[in-house]
Formats: sequence, C-alpha cells, structure tokens
Amino acid sequence: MTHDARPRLARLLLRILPLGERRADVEDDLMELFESRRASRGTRYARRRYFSDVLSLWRGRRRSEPRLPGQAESVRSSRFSLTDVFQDLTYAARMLRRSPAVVLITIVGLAVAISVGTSMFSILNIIAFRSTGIRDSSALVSVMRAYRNGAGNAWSHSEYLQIRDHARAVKVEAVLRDGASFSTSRDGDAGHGASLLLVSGGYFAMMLPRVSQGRLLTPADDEPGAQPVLVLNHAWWSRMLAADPSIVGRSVWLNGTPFVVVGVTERGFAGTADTPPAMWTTLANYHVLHGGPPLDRRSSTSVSLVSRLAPGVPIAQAEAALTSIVQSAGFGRGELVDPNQAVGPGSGGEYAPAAPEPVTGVRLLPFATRGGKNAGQVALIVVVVLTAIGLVLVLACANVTNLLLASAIARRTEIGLRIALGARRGRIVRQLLTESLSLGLIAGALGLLFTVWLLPILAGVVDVPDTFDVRPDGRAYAFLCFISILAGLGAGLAPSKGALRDARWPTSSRSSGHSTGSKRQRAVLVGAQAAASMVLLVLAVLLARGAAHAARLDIGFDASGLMTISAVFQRGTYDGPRAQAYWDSALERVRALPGVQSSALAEVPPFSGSSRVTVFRRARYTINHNDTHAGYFETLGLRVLAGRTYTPAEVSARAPVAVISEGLARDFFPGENPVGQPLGRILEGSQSTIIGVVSNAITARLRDPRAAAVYQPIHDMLAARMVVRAGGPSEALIKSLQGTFQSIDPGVRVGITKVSDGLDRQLAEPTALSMMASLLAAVALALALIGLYGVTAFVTGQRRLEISVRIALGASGSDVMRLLVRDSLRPVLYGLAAGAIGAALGSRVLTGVLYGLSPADPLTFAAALIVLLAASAGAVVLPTRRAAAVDPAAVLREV
Amino acid sequence: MKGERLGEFEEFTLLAVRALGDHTYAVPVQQFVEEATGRDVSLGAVYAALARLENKGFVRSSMAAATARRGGKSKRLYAVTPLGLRTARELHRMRQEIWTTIAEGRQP
Repeated sequence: MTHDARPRLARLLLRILPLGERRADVEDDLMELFESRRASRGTRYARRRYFSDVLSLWRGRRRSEPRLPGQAESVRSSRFSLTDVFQDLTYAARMLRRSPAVVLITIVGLAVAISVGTSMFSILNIIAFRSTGIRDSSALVSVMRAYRNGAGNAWSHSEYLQIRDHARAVKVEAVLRDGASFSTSRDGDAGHGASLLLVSGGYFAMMLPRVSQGRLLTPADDEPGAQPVLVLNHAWWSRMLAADPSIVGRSVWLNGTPFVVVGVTERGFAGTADTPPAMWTTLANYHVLHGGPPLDRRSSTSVSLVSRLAPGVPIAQAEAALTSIVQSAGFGRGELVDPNQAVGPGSGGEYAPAAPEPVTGVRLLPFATRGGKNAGQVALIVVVVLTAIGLVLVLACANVTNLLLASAIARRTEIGLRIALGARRGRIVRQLLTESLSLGLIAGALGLLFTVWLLPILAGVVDVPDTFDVRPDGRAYAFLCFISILAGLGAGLAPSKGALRDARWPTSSRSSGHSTGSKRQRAVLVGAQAAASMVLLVLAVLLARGAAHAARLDIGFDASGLMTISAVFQRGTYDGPRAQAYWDSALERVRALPGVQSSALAEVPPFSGSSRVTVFRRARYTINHNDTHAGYFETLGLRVLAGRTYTPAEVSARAPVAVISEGLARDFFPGENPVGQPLGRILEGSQSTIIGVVSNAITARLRDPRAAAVYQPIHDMLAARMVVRAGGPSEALIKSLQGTFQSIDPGVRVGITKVSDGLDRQLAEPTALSMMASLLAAVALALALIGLYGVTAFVTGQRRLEISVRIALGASGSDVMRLLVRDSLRPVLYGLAAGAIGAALGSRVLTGVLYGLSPADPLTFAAALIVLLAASAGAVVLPTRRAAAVDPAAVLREV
Repeated sequence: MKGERLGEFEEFTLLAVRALGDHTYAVPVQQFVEEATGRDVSLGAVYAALARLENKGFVRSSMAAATARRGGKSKRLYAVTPLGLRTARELHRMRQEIWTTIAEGRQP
C-alpha cells in the first residue's frame, strides 16, 4: 500500500523520465527519501517533497542537461527528447503571449468550431450510431416470422413459450411489444412519468451488459409469484433521480403496486428498443401492470423475440432449427408488421390471429442491421452532417492558418536568425507545429467546455428523449481530441513551410509580406473559406426551406380537426362481437355530439405511430395496409378517383374487396384501369378484388411521397380505433368525447389524441435538422468573415507604402479603394463560384430530406450568394477604408 | 575539466560526502545538506551536483555490492578524491583568510 501514497502524477512523470540504467537506483533513492520523510514529517509533506524531487530531475535535464550520474550518453543525444518538447512548449507559450488579442480570437473561433463539431457528432452518435450497449451485438438476431410475401416480428406469448421450450441449441428471449408509460411515485414523493419495458428473465443475460448499481433481472424474477422488481436505465436514473445510489432496494410504485429496484444498468445501455425505456421489469409482472390473468401458455399478448447465435453457429443453421419448431407447431398468420417497427407506446397491442396464412418459417435478422428502415436516410444524414462539420473545421483551420501565416511573415527575421545560428530546419518546423498544435489543444479544451454546455441545449432542440444519455461519451471525446489535433496540425503545416522558405537574414530590415508564394497561399485560403461558407449556407437554406416545405406538404387530407380514439379492452372480458357492439354504440353516440362531422373506424389512424406494411425488399417499395370502415374515406376527405369505395354492407360481410391509393395504382397498373383487377397482382396470395382508387394520403411517414396504400374492410374490432372529424374547437369536444366513452363502459381505458400532434412530431425532424444546419452555417459565416476581415486588414496594412505612393502620385481615395476591394474580393468570387458548384453537386444527396423541394433550388443559391457577397464586401471594405485613409506624407517619411 | 572551482552547492555536497565518512550514496547526502543548510534540497539537485563533482574529479563513484538495507539491490556510492579534499580545504583556507582581514579591518 505504501506505493499508493506517492503522488500519481509524480509517479507518471518519473516513469516517462529517460533514466536508462540508473532507473532502479533513482527510484530506490526517491522511495527511501519518501519513506523517511513520511515517518518524520507525515505523508502530506512526503508527497509534496516527492513531487518536487521528481520535478527537479526533469528540471535538471532541461536546464543545463547535466548528465545524471552514470547516465548513458545515448539518452541525451536522442533526436526527439521530452526536454525539447518542454523547450518548444515554453517558447510557444511565450510567442502566443506576445499577441494575445489575435490568439484569443483564433482560439475562441477554433473552440466554437470544435465544440459545434463535437456536439453535432454527439447528437449524431445518439441518433444514428447510437450504441445499444449490447456486448457483441453482431451475434444478436431478431427472430422474425416469415410468410410468403413478408415477415413480421410479432409473436404471441404462447408461441414464445413453445419456441423457448423446444429450442435446444438456440436461446430465445422475449420483449413485450407494447411499451407503456406509468406514473411512478417514489416513497410518497411526487411521481414521474416513466416508460417501462417488460422482458423475459434471460433478456439481460443475453444482452450481457454490466451493472452500475445492484443487479440485473434474472430468470428467477420471471417466475410466477416472484416479487415484482425493476432495473433502471442509467440515463433516466441520473437525470430523474440524481443518480441516487440508495434507490437500490427501495420501492417504486407502478399502478399501485410496489416494485423493488434491484439495480441500474451500466451507462449507455439501451437494449433492443429503438427508444430505451426508463425501466425494465419481467413479463411475469404483466398482469400486475395491465390487469387480467398472468401471462401463460394461452396468452396471445404480442412479444418480439431476440436470440443470440452461439459462437460458430451459422445463421442458416439457427434459422433451420427454429423453422422446424415453428412448422411442427403449425403457427397461424398473425398481423403483418413492419419488421423495423418501433417498440413503443401504441405499437403492439393484442396479437390477432386471423386469416389462415401459414407461417412458412423463421428468419433471423442480424440486430446490427436492424436499422434497415432508415439506414439509407441515416447514412445520408451522417454524410451531410460530417461534411458540414468538416467544412466548418476547414474554415476554422483556414483562420488559424491565416493568423500563423501572418505571424510567420512577421517572424521571418527570427527564423532566419535561428537558421543562421545553426538550427536544423526540422527543429524549426517542429517549433512552429508545436505552436499551432498548442493553439489547437487549448481550443480543444475550451471547446470541451462549450460542448458540455451546448450539448444539452442541442439535445433539447433535436428533442432527444430523456432516456438517452446525451453527455459526450468516449467516442465524442475521441472525436474532439482528434479534430483538435487535426485543426492544430492542419493549420500549422502551411505556414511553417512558408516561413522556412521565406526565412531571411536579420540584416535585411524591412519585411514586405509580398512574396508571391504567401500571397497565393492567402488567396487560396480566402477562396477556400468563401467556398466552404457557400456550401454550408446553401445546405442550411435548403434544409430550412425543406422544413418549411414539409410543413406545407400536401398530405392529401386536412389533419386539423381530426382526432383518434383508441380503446384498451380488458383482456378476457371483451371478444370480437362485444367489441363490435362497443364500437357501434360509440359511433352512434359520437355522431350525435355537436361539432362532430363524421367518424369511422380504422385499424391504423393517420400518424398514430403504428403501421402495418408490406415491404418489397428488393424494390425498396413499401405498401401501407389499413382496414377501415366504409366511412373512413369520407372522414379523412379522400376523393374517389375511379370505381367506388366499399359499402357498410360489404364491411359487415367482410367482402373480399380492396381500395387502393392513386400512387399504388400508378406504380402497379401503369396505363390500365385497376378497377376489377385482382389484388393478388400486387400482393401475392390475396383473394380480394380492387374495386376503387382513392386520392393519395400520407398517413405514416412524411418522407414517403409515394403513399402507396391498400384499404380493406375492417374485421378485427379489438384492434380498431376511431377517427373523428370535428368542425369546432377540439378541446371542448375532447371533454365530451371522454364523457361519452366513460358512459359506455368505464372499464375500458380510452385515449384521445389529435392527428395534428402526430403530424407535428413528424415535422419536428426536418425542423431539428435545419436548425442544426443553420447553426453550422452561422458559425461558418462568422468564421469566414473574421478570416476575410483579418486577411484584408493584414494585406492592406502591408500595402501601406504602395497606397501612399499611389496617393502621392495623384490617385484619388476612391481609385485606391476600388483597387484594394477588387484585389481582396477576387479570391472571394472564385471561392463562391467553386462553392456553388460544390453545393450543386453535393446537395443532391439531400433529396430525401427536402420533402419534394429541388436540391438545385435556384432561390436558395441566389439567396446564399447575395448574403455572402454582401457580407464579404462589408468585411473587405471596413479595413480597406481605413487603409485608404492613410496620410501619404506620414508613411513616406517613415521610409 | 579537472581542477575547476567549486560552487556553493557543490561545496556543501562535497563536504557532506566527506562528513558521511565516504562511501555514501545520494539519499544521506541530500538529508545531510538539507539539515545542515536548513533549506529544502531536491534530489535532482544532489544528483546534478554529484555528477558535476565527479566530472571535475572531486568525487569518484563506484557500484557497491548489494546491501540488506535496500532490499538487496546494488547502488552507486561516492567518495571524495584527494583532489576534492584539497580543493575544499583550499577554499576553506581562503575564506578564513578573508574573514581574518574583515575581522582585523573592523577593529578600531
């Protein structure tokens, strides 16, 4: 234990001190002194003296490089020693201290760029690369039920038990598809709303996460009659419970039942859900939370299944094993669902065995590639954001480079002197790089502070749920470190090259700063800044206009005044006919309410967060399914374009008829009349006939402009929801609707939501994206203008003599102004042109997030060009006017 | 390099080595100088002084056989050379002479 008493930093410094063969001896001496001081004067004193002793060894090397006794000569002559680094750093600090204002501006600019970059990266990290916290997630697979023309991930609880009991080689765990939010109250405190996910007992063992407090759920917790226990999400625990470790062992009340908190997951664990829940409990507690009998072999509650492939077991082998179980059990068809559908509130519900379409087998989908739904989109956004970050960094680097270029010109004399005194060129380059690198690292440290402050704000803007951990993680820190070093090195390389080339003898006194090399370099830098600003500004304006476009997007119906009513029926007490009676009565009473224009039942109301789709993987084509009442089309306001919609009689009779959307009709029946055609031409195996075509309606995702949809008569009343179109103010109507439903059956939980809320949630995404891009563009513009101003001020300052001569020879002030502004703006114009070309080429990747706006939108390009031209003219004119106002006599006297 | 003058700290170090009965090592020297001068002395300074003294030929060092005190590891021991002793004595004598002058000069 004695070793631990020595200061850690000192031990580290000692370890990296090149002592050669003397190390053991020196360490023994230090230890002996430490122990004797500790015995006589106490540990604190001993530690202080130990530290200063180690520092004295370093200092001893630095000052006059006295050889440590017996130290090998080779250590001292090594080409790159830490001593030199110390020297470089001291010198760098001295140089930077000499021009504090410029250095400050540069560092703050770089820091802002770095922190904006890191924040963007962190958000991206959360949204796109979000690690699930699952160990070795490549072996994790989603267990999908396969049909002839699709696959789904909904299984009933009884199917899960059958698979689990028969699968020998493959372990399968279940996750309840219907996540739910509960009000908690901790030991009588005011409660929080918290999302809860029910999982089978072996779930955590399969995910293999570590625990930060207590323990995780085990199969024992999933036994019937086990004590209800919870595991908390680390992010939620940190944010809502202030990371209180005493929570373990205490109770959280959910639905009036105390659940004992047994542990907290490790930081960053999100599990298999798209949005991590605040807490997890076992499926055994289903009935405690939702009422009804405990889950057992007969339960049809819908669950998703995950599995982990044993090492060395190919996916096909596991698939075959599970398929044989499924086929021998003869599972029926369940609902067809999007395999990537979010596990979230309202997404699952009761599993509905219906038409006899047999499950053909089991498909295992690697969990890692599960993001399929948006993988293309996400990759695209990643590319865009990273490019934008890169551009901002280029701008920041260009600024630092400008600063260093200017100072390198000013330091040519110093460098010339050093070369004359025998400094090797490599040594000088290293000195200059050390300086720019320290700039980068100081800016990085400052950027870190900015990031910690900026990130929660940005996360709020982008609306990251509170079960996500938004603090920068290891990856974000690594990124920050990387870009700091990159910025430092990138900014330092060009000036150090220039400085060496232009090094001059101390005897030639005046510097003109006009060597063609550095002039060209500055012009290129200014041009690059202008180009990068142009690209970023175009990007930001495009995304902002895209967001505005999305807000005005024609979704095919009027969402305002539309409401969705969902009902959760008590299990066991309701069956199909009873639900039918419930809805019939509800429809009758709702239609009688004042302000209600029309109402109808549908399985998938618009923007309800759920969907039922068929995905043609090869063609990347998605068809939305919806089972509806006859009045649904009228309630939404869809026009009948061909044929007719089904009648109430056809709905009651479950007639094999279908109505398709205009988009689907165009894609599958180009040039022919789809009315009367079999639906089997689109969906293999379907027996229905197409009887009509209705206008397009975007009801699920704004980004899917095709809006391909198949409507069929609704038959499953347990899964039905009501869509109501109201004429008047919705708040009053919601109250009376609640009363109405309460009067039908107070035992049925009813949720009323506005369709426009769901639409707003969809619109939040483009808005967030455009805000991020606008922030980046603002930073970029500011950096570019600072840079342009700085360079112009520097160049015009250098040209004072020339200006004076021109004025003395009769040039007017406006002549000089025109000359200087033209010279300064020329590279800007080239840069803007290059930037416009780059933006035109690059903006094509944005097509998917522009909601129909053309990526080559001329208005956007014109606006960006005008803003940049005006701003750079301002940045050039200000210093130029000062330069043109020189008193030529005074300047010429100086010469 | 031999026969150079002694700096103040070098002199202390040299005298400490001598006072500790020669064949001593860095730690006792550090402790001795610190006690005698009443100011904090870093180990690095002692190393540096010993190295300079050895360079100038005032002390010599040798690797000692293992001793029980340091866990059976060998260490570098220092002893004052005759040259070192002579130089120190010479310095002392010169100082005393100067002091005598000062003392005499002060007498009325």
